[in-house]
Amino acid sequence: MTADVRVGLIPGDGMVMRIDETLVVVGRSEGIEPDVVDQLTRAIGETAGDDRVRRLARVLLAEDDPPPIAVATIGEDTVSVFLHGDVELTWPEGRAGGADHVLGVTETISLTAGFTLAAGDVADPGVEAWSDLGAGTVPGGGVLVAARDATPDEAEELLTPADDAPPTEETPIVDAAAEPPGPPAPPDADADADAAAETTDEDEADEDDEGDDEPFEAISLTDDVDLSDRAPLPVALAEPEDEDDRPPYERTIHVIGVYSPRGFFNHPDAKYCSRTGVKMGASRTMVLTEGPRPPLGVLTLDDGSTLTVRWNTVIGRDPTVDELVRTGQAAPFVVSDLAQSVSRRHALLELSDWDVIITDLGSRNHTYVQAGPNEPLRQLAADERLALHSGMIVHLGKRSFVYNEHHVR
Amino acid sequence: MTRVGDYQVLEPIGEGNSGTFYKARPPARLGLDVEFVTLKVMAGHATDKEFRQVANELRVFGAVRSEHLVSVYDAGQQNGRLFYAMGWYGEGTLDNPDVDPKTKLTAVVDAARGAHALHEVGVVHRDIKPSNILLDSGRGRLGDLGLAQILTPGMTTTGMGPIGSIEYMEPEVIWGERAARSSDIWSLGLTLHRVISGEGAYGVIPERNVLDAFRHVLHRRPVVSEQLPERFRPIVERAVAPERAERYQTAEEFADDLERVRR
Repeated sequence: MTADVRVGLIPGDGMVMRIDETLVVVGRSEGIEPDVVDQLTRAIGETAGDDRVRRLARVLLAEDDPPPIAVATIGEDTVSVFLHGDVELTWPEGRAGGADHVLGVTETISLTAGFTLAAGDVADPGVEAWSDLGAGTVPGGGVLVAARDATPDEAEELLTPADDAPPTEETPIVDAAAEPPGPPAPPDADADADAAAETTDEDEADEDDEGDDEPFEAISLTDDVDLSDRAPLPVALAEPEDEDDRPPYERTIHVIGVYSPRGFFNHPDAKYCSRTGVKMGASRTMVLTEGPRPPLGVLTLDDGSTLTVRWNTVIGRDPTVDELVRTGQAAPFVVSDLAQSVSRRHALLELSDWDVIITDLGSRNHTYVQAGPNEPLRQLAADERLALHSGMIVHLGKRSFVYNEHHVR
Repeated sequence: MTRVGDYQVLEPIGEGNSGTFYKARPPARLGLDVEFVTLKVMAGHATDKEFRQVANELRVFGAVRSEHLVSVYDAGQQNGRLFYAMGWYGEGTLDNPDVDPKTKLTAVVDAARGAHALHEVGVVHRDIKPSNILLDSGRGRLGDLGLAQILTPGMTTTGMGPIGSIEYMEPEVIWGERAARSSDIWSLGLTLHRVISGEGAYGVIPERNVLDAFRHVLHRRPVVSEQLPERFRPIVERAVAPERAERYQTAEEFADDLERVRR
């Protein structure tokens, strides 16, 4: 756990999971496939940060009838929360609900006192038990998370809806009669609970209104487009492409290596052909010769997307700002990051002979490397040029990738 | 009621490789004579420039006006989220093993002709697989393009959608080469193999992580299943021949050959 927090369980018929710094509230447990918990656990093991939130949400949304979901990833002083369905996030400065966003909504809040996450059908948002909930899955309908140094008053306040939620401009309560009634207040409800129910209704109306008014832009796809100037794709594939038409980084580089029995060019020390898996070593294949360098490896990003490493590449949020990309010496590869923890030009992958060398491009949050999942993190020094090897993990801000070489050394 | 842009979203219907599909009601401004559309909402946020690139690609797709392609109506963005509306067919896809074999064949031939029409205007589809061939009154329509490459040039595969769809990817593309006619022809061959034999040509692809799936597919050649009737074997084998130059040169040739053995 990055931040020091206490977790209070709010009763309900869903489940609450905690693994490392991630809390998951699933609004109901009925109708959820038993292996979902395993899948969630695995997704948490393979991801971090914002990406983890996305992966978990995807596992849950893949269910036939997705339950309300809240996923909170607690950082040092911020919390990134994904909400989908009838589930609500409350923190001292505001609140957010997932019900009216078909795609779910992501919020990043600062972790001052704490926050609550509760499924919409939780009748009484009181804390049943304080728990460290160090790890594991328990039944529940929500959680109250209090910073360890929050006072009991501050913690209690988290259960009370904020009065000073940011006002929305012109927020008539549209069609309030058509809204489903809020959860019935228990007969002996105190003022707070009433206030909670009321605010919930208002909020839903507000968000509905907002949804309709949210500006969007549309382009018709049914207009006639003149296709006569569009060249068909080439049919004769045996013809090599004209190298001059490509950006400089795409031009073929020749290196010293060996040919496999089927004619694929390989690393001079390769035991098996990287392309076919066939054992190298027949007499012809042992001759060192010059040949076109094949792709050297593949990056697998934390969101499961991949990049085949073929040429010099600048990785970042907006690599087109890099001089090497502008002059065509390196390809851009975009790693998106709403939290902007990845710099616009973050790191350079440079192909040198048969190696892929990484350097940090003076990024704000630096580049960290790990030899493997359980190895220590090490910050790349300025101007350090490090050759990547299979299994190395590279962290760029909150995003990361694993590198794997194509050839077996 | 949830909305995306001015569409009324009714229910999610599945995940594609770069976003989620919803059944939705179209806004009146489109003047469409249909009750429902398929709305695709793309994953992640996009810049204005990316939105325009995607819209341009889709406009070309739409302008092909082939009966073998899904109709596209409208592309939009809201808060950096891209969405676009396509025809609603409501009869499922070739992913459903219970579709009768005749319809399956017709639909693969139709999809190949749709792909050919795209190739003739310089577009590679990049995402041909059984779940992207939609059924429409006994015929097939090829679904929307793989757009991830437009949003993230260089990206080899997206993390979205089932890992198993790597089964239909041309190895050259996984190796980082440019997509070409042969990329779609390869996918058509393995789609035909899957829907007719009911089996994948790579055996069971490990779905634990992308890299294992990659390795499985990259270091093997597809093997034609015993379950595939003999008359289809040469077609599949030619579509997935080891070298690009040995494969069908156009998707139209693939469609013509398949039409000949159809009974």
